[in-house]
Amino acid sequence: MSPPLAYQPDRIQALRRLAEHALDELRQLRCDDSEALDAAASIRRVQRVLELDWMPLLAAIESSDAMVTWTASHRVGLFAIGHTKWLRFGGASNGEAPPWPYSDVSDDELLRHLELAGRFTPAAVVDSSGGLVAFDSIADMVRSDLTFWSTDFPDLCAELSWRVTADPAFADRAIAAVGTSPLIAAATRFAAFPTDFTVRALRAILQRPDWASGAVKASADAAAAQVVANGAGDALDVLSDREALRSILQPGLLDDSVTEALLVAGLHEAVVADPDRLIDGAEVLRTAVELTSGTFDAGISVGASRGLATTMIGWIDPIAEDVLYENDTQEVLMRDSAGNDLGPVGTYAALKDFFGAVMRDEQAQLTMGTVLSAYTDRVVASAGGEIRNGSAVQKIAHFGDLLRDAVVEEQVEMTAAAAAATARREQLGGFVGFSADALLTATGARAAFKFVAGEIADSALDRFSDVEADTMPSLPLGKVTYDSITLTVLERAIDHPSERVDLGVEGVSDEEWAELAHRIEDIDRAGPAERDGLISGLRKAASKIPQVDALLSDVHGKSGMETLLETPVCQVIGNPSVPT
Amino acid sequence: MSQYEAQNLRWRARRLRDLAVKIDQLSVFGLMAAAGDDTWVGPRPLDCRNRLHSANQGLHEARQQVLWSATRLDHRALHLELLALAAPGPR
Repeated sequence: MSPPLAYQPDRIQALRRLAEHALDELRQLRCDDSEALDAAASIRRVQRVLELDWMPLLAAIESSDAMVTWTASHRVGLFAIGHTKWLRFGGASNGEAPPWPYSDVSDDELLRHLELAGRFTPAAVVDSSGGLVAFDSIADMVRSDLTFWSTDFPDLCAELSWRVTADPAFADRAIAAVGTSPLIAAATRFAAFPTDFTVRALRAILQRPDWASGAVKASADAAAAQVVANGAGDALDVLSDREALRSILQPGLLDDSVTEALLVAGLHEAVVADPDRLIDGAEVLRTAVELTSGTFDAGISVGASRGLATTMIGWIDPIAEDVLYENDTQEVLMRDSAGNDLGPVGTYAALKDFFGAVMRDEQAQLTMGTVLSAYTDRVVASAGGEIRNGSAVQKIAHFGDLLRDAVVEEQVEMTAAAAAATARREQLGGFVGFSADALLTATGARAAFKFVAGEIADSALDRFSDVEADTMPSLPLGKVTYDSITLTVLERAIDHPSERVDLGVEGVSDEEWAELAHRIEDIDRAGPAERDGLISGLRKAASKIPQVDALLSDVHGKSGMETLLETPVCQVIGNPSVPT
Repeated sequence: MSQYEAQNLRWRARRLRDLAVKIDQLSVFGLMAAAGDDTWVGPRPLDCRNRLHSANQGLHEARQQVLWSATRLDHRALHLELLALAAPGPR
């Protein structure tokens, strides 16, 4: 059953005439030139929208009882929305039962129906036989054969959506009522609401202090999923609300998969799709850092950890521009790719807390290791021949130091390091930033990165789980970052002969380059037990080639590099074992 | 031969520009103004407006493409005309 609509009868007649005229024009438009094929297809598309969507609806309205009665008797069956008189499509002007369920109830009654239905918990709903049935979500209940949820609830949603669309004052009232009727927010998932109403409803429900009710949680999940479906920009609008963001990050409130999708859409896809929103994203990130620094005793949710870790593929660049450890109270500034100031992201200490919170989840640890490796690849590739003299290496080193400082357990560090070591050979630099993959849509770029990161996670876990925990060598994130920088710089010189003059490594023979390349391949393929030995072998081979030795000395002398090799201050909790 | 080809290209460019003008003048672009919330309200009108808006945007982009194609054809025609002028022998 289609949802109801209201219309001004005289204006609808004029609209139908205009639509017919527009359709005639489109049908007459012809051009057989081969250069006009796209235009012809676009014309046909507009034509189809009018023929298949507009005209049938306009014709149905004009042939409806209400319109016929109005046309014959003038002004019969009108009702008021605000200060204007309207007819309802299929309206019951002749006293018959209303064709739309709930179309004849007052606004108060409609909200009351939703309020009463909201006093449920999806974990225990009484079915037709009187037994208790548990559901994971409202969507599952709507798909079930439960009398109210599979029939009346969608009708209530349709009626609510119609009134909200028709009457801004009622929309405001509905938003104000979300506190007592959480299903108003859930309804946005089950009927076509204006997107700004969905954003407001989700913000309203996330600001609720009492999260004990299962209906509130289920409604928040439904509305959040709808916000993500409506568009990444809407997700960023929700995240921009400080109280809403606090609820989103908190464990146990939103479903983890919904939280992850909301954060990735708002903090990454929205910025890729609209670069002007970088500044909004920076503000959200700043708030997230502030909130994670001491707000949550139990840490942030798993979904928040995973979502924030994924978004770092974009945000590592603005953050790493300015990370330089001097003291914990130092403010770290964010900068865009052109060097413009995006404001502070937080103090060094707050960033440590933030990344510590993000990296409590194993999947997030693997993602952060992959992001760090991708960033190393991107920075070295961007710097090219300038890597020896510029500040590129120190940016990677300082960010690596920050992550190492953020980690509080050795096992966490090893998991991230395993991913970083595994990801290095994939050369993922193209994913870093917000405009790196111009050929992919925002969603496509994120999906591609997620796929690659997942493959790397599996591969890293496979490689490192082959090793007995007792004999597992230490795999400090700092050292892996140090080695990764070394390998990536050497690889750059090997793969890009034109940059060797700038790098100061001209005159090295092809055989010498081939030997270094062979050793790097062995390291990338090696498990953790052989890795350190192979890296030592590479360093020895490189030291015998004066130009390469001088290059690596300069790279290793950059600010932050020595710190990467210092023993990390980790709490060893239990037996440090590999992730499984 | 080149001059004939050049004339043909210029004729095609003119036709494409005519098409762009006709697209520009389509009343379907004005339909949205007559189909606002003061005419009809509800999820289905909203859906109709969204679909038409999206299709109209595609048509607008196609119009830009048509103009770009016309310009390219004119450039090719000019190139052929210059070649003909530079060619030795009677013109």
